Amino acid sequence: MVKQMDERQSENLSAVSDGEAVYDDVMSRLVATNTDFQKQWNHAHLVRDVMRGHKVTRDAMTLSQRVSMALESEVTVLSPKKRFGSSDTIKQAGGFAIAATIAVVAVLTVQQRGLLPQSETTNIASIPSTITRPVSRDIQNVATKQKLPRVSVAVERKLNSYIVNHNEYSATSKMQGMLPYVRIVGYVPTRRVANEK
Amino acid sequence: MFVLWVMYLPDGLRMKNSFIFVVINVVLFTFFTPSAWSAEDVRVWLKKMQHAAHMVNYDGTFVYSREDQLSAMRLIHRADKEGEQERLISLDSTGREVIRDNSKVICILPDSKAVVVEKGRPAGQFPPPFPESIQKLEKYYKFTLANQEKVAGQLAQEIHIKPKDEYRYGHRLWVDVKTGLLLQKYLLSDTGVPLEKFMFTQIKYMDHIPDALLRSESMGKEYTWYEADEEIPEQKQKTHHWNVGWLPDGFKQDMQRAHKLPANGNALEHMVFSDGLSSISIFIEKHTENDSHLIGGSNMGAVNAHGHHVDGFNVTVVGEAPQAAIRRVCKSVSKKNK
Repeated sequence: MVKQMDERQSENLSAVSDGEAVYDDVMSRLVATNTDFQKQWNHAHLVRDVMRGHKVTRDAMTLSQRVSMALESEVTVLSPKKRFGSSDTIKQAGGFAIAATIAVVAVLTVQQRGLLPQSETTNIASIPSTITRPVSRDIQNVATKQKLPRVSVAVERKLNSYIVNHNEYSATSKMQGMLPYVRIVGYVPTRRVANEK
Repeated sequence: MFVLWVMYLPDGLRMKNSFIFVVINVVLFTFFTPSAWSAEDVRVWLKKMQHAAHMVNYDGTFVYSREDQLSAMRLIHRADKEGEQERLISLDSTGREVIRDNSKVICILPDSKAVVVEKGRPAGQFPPPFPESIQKLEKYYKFTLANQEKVAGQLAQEIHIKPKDEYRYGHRLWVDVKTGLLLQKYLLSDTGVPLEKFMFTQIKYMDHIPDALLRSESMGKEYTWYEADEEIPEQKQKTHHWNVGWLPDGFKQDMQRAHKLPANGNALEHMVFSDGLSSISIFIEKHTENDSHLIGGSNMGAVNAHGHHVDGFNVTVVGEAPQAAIRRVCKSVSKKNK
């Protein structure tokens, strides 16, 4: 029951973050009081900004968190937008359509077809939506194939060490420079091994 | 030259057989025209990419996705007469960072309040040499030069690398035509399904990278530091008592070393095997009851790991290769009979 509620709230949050729904007092209370939703909210905005080529720094995240904390003491409507429907059905439809964004999957896209202007510093803001497509469907979801429980922090730390050594001492990893390290930096612990000793 | 043969036919026959003429020419063109690129062209692109990864100054933002995760990161790279320095920063709430220079790799992990310092690659390899010739690799991979298209506003050459067996991954690479920098990459399963995607959304090439951009702002007093010890001298290394019973075709030993793990100070043997494009590492550490070890399979993105016990030692195999290959290599490691 709680899980269902969370999923629904997550969908609503997704819709809000994509400008498809209204950031009302219920949502603001949700973001302000629930750490997970704060993270979701921040993450969705971050990815959206990066995809649009906006300059993003970690300070922006901190600021966002501060805003969320401020909301704890005073719940207000932050960004009143045109309410296009108040029924649950419409809200859910919007939420469902965007849920993938906040579920963190739907945005990456990565087919570009030579449509961007060339300059020293460029961004992806001008990429037409037709050349962006959800990445989730064509990324092989290992999680669905082999659900592995998460390893302990100690084992993860050891594996990180192994991966660093592997990256540093294998000539083939060096071909890609720093890229092999994205797996450490971008790692969000979700699953791991059958068991450990 | 393919059309000249028809000149020798009588006029009538030439007209009547115009359809056959077209078909034959198409067949000749298809089978005898040399492709617009050669394996050597692919090698040149890969070499250019590898060189740029270590020699170009840039500050870029990119997105990285795998499974159901999507991350945004910033990568800053500087190469000058003092060598190479780079900083990879998560823009997500985890705040993870990796800073690397000529001698060390520093992993800042705010989520576990830890800083892990590892030794960098040996000095004197700047930039590191390109591993293999394409001719050797063509036994295990099919290389194709695809189209040129824009990535992060830069014209990029797309390269396809398809594995010929199930023990290797495939790659789609987009290399900046002007600088050679890798701007976009898909890592693919042996059946061509994307496992990881990486793409720069913004890239700025710079003549000079200020020091401030390469310094971390994350480190606080509450962090626990784990620092790698010196290498174990070669005469004290005990890395010759292990037998690796199975490796995918074409994998040969590249390197062997011994050092101490920063997390617990235990001696660690490390062997690297490679086919020239993919690498697999084998780590062997004496088993201790107080320490945690990986038993079974694990993955971090497309990097797979598998661990098990062998005669009082923990054997862990790590590599950018399918789990089946990693597991099979791990299970094949045994102690040599004296």
